[in-house]
Amino acid sequence: MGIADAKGRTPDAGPDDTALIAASQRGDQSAFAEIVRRYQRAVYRVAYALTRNTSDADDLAQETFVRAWGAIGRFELGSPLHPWLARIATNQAYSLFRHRKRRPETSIEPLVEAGMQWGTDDDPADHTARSEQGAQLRAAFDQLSPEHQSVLALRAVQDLSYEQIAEALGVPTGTVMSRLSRARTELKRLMQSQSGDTP
Amino acid sequence: MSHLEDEELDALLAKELTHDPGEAYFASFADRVTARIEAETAAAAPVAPPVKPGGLAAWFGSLWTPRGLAYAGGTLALLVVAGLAYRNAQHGAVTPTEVLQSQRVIPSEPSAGTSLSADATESEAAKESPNESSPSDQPTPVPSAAKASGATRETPTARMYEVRPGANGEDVPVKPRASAPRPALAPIPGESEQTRAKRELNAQPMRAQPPSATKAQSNESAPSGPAPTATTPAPAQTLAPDRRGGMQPARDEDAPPAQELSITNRLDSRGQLCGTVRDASGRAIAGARVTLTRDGSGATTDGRGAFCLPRPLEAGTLSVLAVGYRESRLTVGPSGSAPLAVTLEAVDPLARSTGRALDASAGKVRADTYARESAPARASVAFAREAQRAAEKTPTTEAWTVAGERWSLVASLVHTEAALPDARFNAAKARYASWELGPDDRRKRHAREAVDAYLAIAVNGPLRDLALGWQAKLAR
Repeated sequence: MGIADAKGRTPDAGPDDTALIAASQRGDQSAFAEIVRRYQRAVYRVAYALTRNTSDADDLAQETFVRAWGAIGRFELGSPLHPWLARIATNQAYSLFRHRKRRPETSIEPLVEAGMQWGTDDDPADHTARSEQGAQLRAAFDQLSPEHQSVLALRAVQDLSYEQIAEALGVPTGTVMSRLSRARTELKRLMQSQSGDTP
Repeated sequence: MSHLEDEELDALLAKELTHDPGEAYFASFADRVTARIEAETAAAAPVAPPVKPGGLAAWFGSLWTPRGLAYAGGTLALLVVAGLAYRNAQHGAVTPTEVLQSQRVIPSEPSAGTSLSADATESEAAKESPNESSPSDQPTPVPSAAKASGATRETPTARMYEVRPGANGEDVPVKPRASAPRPALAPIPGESEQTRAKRELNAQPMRAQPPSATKAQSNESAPSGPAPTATTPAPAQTLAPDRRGGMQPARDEDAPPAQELSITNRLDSRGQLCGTVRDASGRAIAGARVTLTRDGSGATTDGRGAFCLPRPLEAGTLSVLAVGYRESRLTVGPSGSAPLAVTLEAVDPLARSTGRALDASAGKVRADTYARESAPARASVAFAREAQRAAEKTPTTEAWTVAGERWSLVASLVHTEAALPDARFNAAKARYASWELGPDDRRKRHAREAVDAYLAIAVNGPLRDLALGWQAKLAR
């Protein structure tokens, strides 16, 4: 336990997590700090995927854990912690979007990173094609509804199962599958419309 | 794009929607979350909950939370007080509560959480709005002890105590008189001029009394021989800088709970509780704050260390605080007329900056980086560390700004190779935290300067990586 996998995610609740959660429910802040350390990367990934902005992602990730501390007493021991944290992060992102009355700000960081990668690329033509594809994907993703964004982020970035996504979003598993399908279709359509391809 | 399969799309999404802020970011992430949790937990003042969209019903729904209930209770109490004040203003009636409150010596200053070295501006502001304590609006004074050691820069508004020649020819700190005149007490129907004059006298601090009254009270309070009720209890707590840079008592588990402060102490006409405050060598301590912890009423000692305040009806704790001394607490009761003789133990501000110090964050003893520095430098280190601890405990922009200023001062005073990077790193950390909590151009400029100063001498390692992360964020 405690070793994050390639997705920045720690395996679901095991004995160690359960003990930490139980200690946190008794008010042990050091135990909760250990939970934060275990899941900080996973939560940050969700936060960044939903905001595409490092500053907002930082705020969102911190806020997620602060809210989790406030609600840890209501957490059911034995349940996996990761979907619960993902749910808090998603709800916080929704709240942030509602508060701003608009979608996440488009960050220049991907452009900066693209510029940094340029020098190491062997084939400028391939690099340009991939950069264009990435830019189209980001632009299309920005146009999706928050519900479609979150389901795609949890699936593609966090690699959660349908059941875990359902738990994180508070919807039935069937809804997750259908929403995911519609989100992918919509994303592809938007990318095609940007590239000028006909469906 | 139509050739994209779901797996390819997911892989592309994972690539485009992922950002790795680096190990340095996550190294301190848990600490920042913990600091935020502690800050929210420690927030004693009820804060108005944000009104969420959804109308009045949603707002009322948000009241059913601990914070919401506290806010509602505070608002209700304010309304009741305002209503009573309005009623009294309309009818000219004087309630027993008003009479009792008018007899309190320092009714507007609570005993706990009040900065001893708050500057005069802050004192005046407290008089104008005693129930408002907004840390963000307060200046950041420098502790008097640090100033006395020559370790801090002196600013005109950072002084609460002036140093004047005392009765024994030595310099003693004396609190300057507030410029704002004290409002006249409300008249009580049927009250004689003599009673009113006595009431006026009781409502003034010792140093604000006319010479004749001071002399009379000093005669009454002067210790003659061993005082029957004189006690010199063990120091209950030490003075620690608060987040505004002033000195306040460190948290004491034995201290009465904060709820006691709200209990109005009933006073009667059974006389005054007088005494003197001296140090271990018998020298009078001027400017010491003597407070009844039950209701926060109290007095400040005059140049001879004497004080008088209304004797409480019930037994309670008397707290005696002075800059540079450990707090003394003793139990006082409604009976007894002998003057108290309180002895305070001096605090050595260098004690914690010499030799080996306990690194609380690491939980282990480490060699002090500043052991070879000069005495003023070590004194400034002690105050900088206290400011940093206060900021870490209650992270606010002001608290981190104070910590940053003090660490910058430390950086200008130290000379050894080990101390300079440590001081500059701490200054950069504090300046960056201040900017992060309250981003504006001035804090950003200070943070950039501090981070650049540290990076100019930093060696490779996690701290340098952390500072590079700050630099990158500040550059955006």
